[in-house]
Amino acid sequence: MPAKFRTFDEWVDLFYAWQDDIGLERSYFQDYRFEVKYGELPTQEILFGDFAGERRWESVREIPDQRIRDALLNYLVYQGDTEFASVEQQRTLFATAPSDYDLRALCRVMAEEMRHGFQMSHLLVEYFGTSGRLEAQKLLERRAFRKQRLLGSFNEEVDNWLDFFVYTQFIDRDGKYQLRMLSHSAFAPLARSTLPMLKEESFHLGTGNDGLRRIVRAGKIPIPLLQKYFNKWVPTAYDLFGTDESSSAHWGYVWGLKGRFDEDTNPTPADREHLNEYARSLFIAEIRDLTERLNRLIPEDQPKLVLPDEKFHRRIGRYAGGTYSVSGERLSPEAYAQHLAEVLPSEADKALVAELTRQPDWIAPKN
Amino acid sequence: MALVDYQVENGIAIFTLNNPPANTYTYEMMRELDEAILQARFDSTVHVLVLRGQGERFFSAGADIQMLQQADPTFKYYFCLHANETLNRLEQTPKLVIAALNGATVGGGLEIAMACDIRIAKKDGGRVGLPEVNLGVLPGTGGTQRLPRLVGKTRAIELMATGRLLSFEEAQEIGLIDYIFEPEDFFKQVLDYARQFLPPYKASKAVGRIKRAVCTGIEVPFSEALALEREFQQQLFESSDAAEGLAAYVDKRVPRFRGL
Ligand SMILES: [Fe+2]
Ligand SMILES: [Fe+2]
Repeated sequence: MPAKFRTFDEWVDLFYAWQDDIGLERSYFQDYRFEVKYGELPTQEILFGDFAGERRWESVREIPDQRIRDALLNYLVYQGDTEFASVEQQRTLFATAPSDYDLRALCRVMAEEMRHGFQMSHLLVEYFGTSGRLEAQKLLERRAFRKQRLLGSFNEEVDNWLDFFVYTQFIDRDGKYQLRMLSHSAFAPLARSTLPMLKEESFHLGTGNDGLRRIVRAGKIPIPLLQKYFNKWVPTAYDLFGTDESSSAHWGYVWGLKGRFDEDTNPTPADREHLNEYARSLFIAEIRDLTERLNRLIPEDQPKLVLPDEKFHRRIGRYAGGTYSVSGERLSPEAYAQHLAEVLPSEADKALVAELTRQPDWIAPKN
Repeated sequence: MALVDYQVENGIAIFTLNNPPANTYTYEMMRELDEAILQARFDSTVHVLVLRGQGERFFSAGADIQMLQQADPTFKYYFCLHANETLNRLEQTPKLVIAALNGATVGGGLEIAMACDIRIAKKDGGRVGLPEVNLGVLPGTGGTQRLPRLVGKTRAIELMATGRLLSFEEAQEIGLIDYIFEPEDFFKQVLDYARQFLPPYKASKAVGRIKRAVCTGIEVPFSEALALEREFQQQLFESSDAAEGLAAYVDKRVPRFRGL
C-alpha cells in the first residue's frame, strides 16, 4: 500500500476528507486556520543523553543512527494518533454543550487537537519520505470508535460532558507531560513544534479543571457518579506513561529524543531505568493536588473525590490485568468483575448523566 | 509453559514462540522449535503449520542479546549453525508454513518468518526489519540470504546496511509480507486463511510438493530444478489425491482429498 499522495498539500485534502468521514460538522471550524507553528528553542544544544552538548539535529539525515530515526518516527506517529483520535472521541458533544461558552471551548479544543495532528503529519511528510507519508496517511485511517487507535485512552467512548471534562483534566494533562518531555528533543523540528502545542494544551486541561470545579460548585451531579468517571479515565491516563522499567524510554533518553518532564530544571542525573515511573509520579502528584482543591468545594457532609489506586484497572505496566479494586486491594476474579460493574459508569449511569445534564443548572456558569 | 508451545487443531499445527515480553530465542527455544517441527512432520494429521508469537506486541525480536553477550564464540557458532539447521528443516518440510506476525518482527524474528512460506501481519502490530548492523554484526540466521531472495539484492543490502525498520504496509509493498489482517480476531483470521489448504477441499500433498519444488528448485541449476519438479509431479501422479482430483473433475463433482 503506497501512500495516496506526494505533497503535504495533498495530505491536507485527505485531512478534510477525514473530517467529513467521521461526520464532523465543518462549519464549527470555519474561522480556524490549520497551520504549522514553530516556537523558538531556548538553546540549540542537545540537553541530555549520549549526544548531550552537540547541536540538535535539523534534518533526519543528520541523525547519526538508524535506530534513532526509527524511534523518532514512532514518537511522531503516537503523538499524531492521539490528536486525531481525541477529535473522533469528542465529535458528538456539540448538541449537548451546556452553554455558548462551553461550545466555543469545545470547538477550540477540537480545532487545536486537529492542528496538533496537522503539525505531526507535517513533520512526517516533510522529513520522513515514503515511510512518513504512509504513516501520515494512516493517522487519518485508524478510528477511535472502531478501537483502532494506538493507545487505550483514545479508544474509550466520550459519551457526555462529564466524560469531556474528566478527559481534558486527565488525558490532555498527560498530553502536557508527553509534549514537555518531547520539547527537550534533540530533533529540533519536533522540539520547536511542541512549544506552541504546549500553550494550546494548557487551555485544554484548564477547560477540564475549570469544568469540574463548575460541576462541583453547582452541586447537581452526585459525587459518586462523577467518581465513576474518574475511575474510568484515570487508570488509562496512568497507562499512557508506558511500561515500567521501559527499555524504549531508556533508549529514547540515551538518544536524546525524549527527556524528563523537568529535564531543563532538574540537576540530578536521570534514573534511566525508571523514566516512565518518574513521569507518572510527577503527574500523580499534580492531579492529587488538583483533586484536593476540587474536594474543598464539596460540602462537608458529602463524599469526596478520590484518585483510583495505581493498581486499579491497568492494561500496561506491572499491574496490567491485575484484579485490584479502586482502592488497591486484590480481589478474586469474580469479585473483581462485580466490582468493575459497580465502580465504572454503566448504561444506567450514562442515562442518568443524560437526564441530569438536561437540567439548565447542572453546571455553574463560567465566571 | 514451554518455550515453544505446540498444539494441533483440526489439521493445523500451531507453534507459539513463548518467551515474554519480546519472545526472544535462546538455544533452548531453538531446540524446542526443532523438536516441534519434527513432530509436525511425522504427524500425518497435520497439513499446515502456523507460527506466531505469544502476546499482542511481538512475533519475536530475535536472538536473546544477553545470552549472546555472555556466550563464547564457539557456543555462538554452534548456536547459529543449529538455528540455521532448524530453519532449513522448516523449509524442507513438505507442508505449508504460515507465519502469523502478531507484533514486532525484527532481527532473528524476521529470519524465522522468512523461512516460512507465507507471512501474514496484524495491522499496526509492529515493525519489521533486520537491525543487526546496529550491534556490529550481520543477520546470521539466513537473513543475508533469504531477504534478497524475497525483495531483491539492492533493496536487501540497503535494508540490512541501514538496519531500517519498516511498517507492515511498506514491507508488503516490497514483497516481504503477503497480507495484512485487521487486529480484531487476527489469529482467527489467520486460521481461516490456513484452512483453505486442508483436505478434503485442498490436496495438501500437492501443496507441500509445490512448496518443496519452489524452495529447493530456486537454489539449483534450472535443468536440475526441472528434474526435481518432474519427480515431485510423478509422486503426485501416483497419489490417491490426484486420482480423486482427476476423477472428480471428469465427474463434475467436488473432490474429497485426503492429503495422501
Ligand atoms: Fe493535543
Ligand atoms: Fe489537548
